[in-house]
Amino acid sequence: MNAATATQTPTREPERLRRQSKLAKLLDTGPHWSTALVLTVVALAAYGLLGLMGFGRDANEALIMLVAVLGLYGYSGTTGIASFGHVGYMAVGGYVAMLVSLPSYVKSYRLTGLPGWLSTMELNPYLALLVAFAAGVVAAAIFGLLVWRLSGLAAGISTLAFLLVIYSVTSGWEDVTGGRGAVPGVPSISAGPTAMVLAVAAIWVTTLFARSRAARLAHAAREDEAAAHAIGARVYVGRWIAMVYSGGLMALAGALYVYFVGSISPDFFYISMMFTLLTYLVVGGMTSITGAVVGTMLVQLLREVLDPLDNGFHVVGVTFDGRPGLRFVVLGLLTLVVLTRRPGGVFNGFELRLPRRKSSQIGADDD
Amino acid sequence: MDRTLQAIADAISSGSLYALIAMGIALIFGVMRLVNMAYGETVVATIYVAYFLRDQSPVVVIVGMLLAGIVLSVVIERLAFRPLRNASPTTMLIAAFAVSFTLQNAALATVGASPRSVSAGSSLAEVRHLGPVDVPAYSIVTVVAVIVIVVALRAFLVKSTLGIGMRAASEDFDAARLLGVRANSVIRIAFVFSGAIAAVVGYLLVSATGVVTPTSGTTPALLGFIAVVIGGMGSLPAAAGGGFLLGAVTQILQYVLPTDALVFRDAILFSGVLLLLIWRPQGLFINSKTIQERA
Repeated sequence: MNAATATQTPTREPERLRRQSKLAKLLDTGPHWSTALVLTVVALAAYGLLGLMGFGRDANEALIMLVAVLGLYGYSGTTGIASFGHVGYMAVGGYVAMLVSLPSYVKSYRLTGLPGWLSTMELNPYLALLVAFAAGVVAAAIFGLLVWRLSGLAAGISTLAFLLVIYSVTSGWEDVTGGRGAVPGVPSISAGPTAMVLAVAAIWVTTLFARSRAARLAHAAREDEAAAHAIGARVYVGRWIAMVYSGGLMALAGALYVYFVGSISPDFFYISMMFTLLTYLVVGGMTSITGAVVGTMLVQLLREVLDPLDNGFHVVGVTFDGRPGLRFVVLGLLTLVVLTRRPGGVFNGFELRLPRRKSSQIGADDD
Repeated sequence: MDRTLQAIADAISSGSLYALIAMGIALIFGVMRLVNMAYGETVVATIYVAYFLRDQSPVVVIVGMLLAGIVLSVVIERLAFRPLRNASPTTMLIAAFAVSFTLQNAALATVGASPRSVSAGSSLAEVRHLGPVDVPAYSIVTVVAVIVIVVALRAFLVKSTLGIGMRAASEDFDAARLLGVRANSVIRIAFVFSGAIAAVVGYLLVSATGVVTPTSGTTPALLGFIAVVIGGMGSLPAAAGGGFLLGAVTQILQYVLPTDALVFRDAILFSGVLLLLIWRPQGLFINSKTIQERA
């Protein structure tokens, strides 16, 4: 798998790069605490910008997506294994949150197969977010144990199989999940503030996580699995912890998404959501938090800017009726261009940070 | 007894369709380690061509579908996959998802989301009685198509220079190139065959369903892909075997599961695939592990 790892991870030449550009003072090869600060500002600025452009609702969605992308980064970014199944944890979180908080009168006619204690449970949605997080952690802990030895393509495919299992269960288990149709009546929360708090928290906690021992073990295997094993790094433990962390975060994002939309259906958390998240992560660069955050906000802004392609526009005499789906053609092509021209994404593994005081002391101010 | 025979007939007919799709995916995986998740969209594109040519004679429709499948596959290879030829299989898989997403939305933007009815191959929907079992004509055609394609591919791979080059390339791409196998020709011919198979799959699929939407290709492609995973990547017979096995297992589950549990048929199936991946990442019908490890 050496060739694979080499192409996935960027070549790092911080010294050369730093000499080349003043901008490079703002880049680092790993997340610094100030990375979280800079990214918080970036995320909130993009949120404000979306709001000013009149896309308040989409701005909230962007922050929820950001939580999910950070969750995906937690596994794929730290381990270097692309996951196609993390949307499955979003489904776990979304359905658990729905089940514990849905008003019992909706359950009584829609979800008839629930055990008694669950059919009357009407938990506060904010508490339900915690329950969803815990459910994601448990699901990821189990699935993580199954796949921690796999790497490369087999790992990616097994995550896809995981998503297919979750999707078939949620769409087939009619009297518990509501089946393929949407279950309405999910209680609402104040999506804006909640999403903002959780997105900012996710940025900070993910930065801390990326600097943790577990993440560094996973990084070692990402760079060179054989070498990591050879020096005695407990690679699988690192991978497992990354899986558990990201599973919890994804489940939280899934629950938030369900409260944001106000209903739930298996199709929310399937191939198209998976691909959307993957686009966000790939455009910015899979192996850095900066890539995850900036990529998400960038693509989300682009989606809004391209909105006239779908819904039509009228500019200086030119009228275009709009073709629903056209902007996603543009976004898909953009992803392809990034993948082929710059496989490491825009940030190629680098993190933004506050400028160092002494730029010559490389690594000296790491902590 | 009749029920058993019927189940066997159904297993063979759905298994042959999975086997066809699996071969289309495995052909390309063999030469360039690319999991072509855009295969479903290639199939759908050929069906849309049949929809646009609905007033033409059947021969024109079939030729049009074949051409569409081949041209689209070759163009995708040139634009999206060739620049990534040396990238990791995972990066290529992400690119394939991007192609699939782009094509799906392109179909949405041009033809729209509403289902279009396609009459091509509708004569094949007629049910034939073979002794005690009832099978639609397209099932018989599917089985014949698998046999014809397997024989033709085998002849190509064994007799022709390009075919021998292709087999060499799937063993060891770099060594094959050193020995004078032209990488571009080998990969292009793999995409040509794969595109032609996509057209056949499209024709058979739409003769069974009669309608097409932009997302019609997702499920068949996933099942074909699962078949490849079950059988083993990088070998055509293994992939085809995986397709038949998938058809058989689906039918067995359908047959033995109690009615209440039938909705979980797919969940059980995919859990099995997951466990299989953990137990034998290289697939059931492949002995060496090297095929997966090479990248």
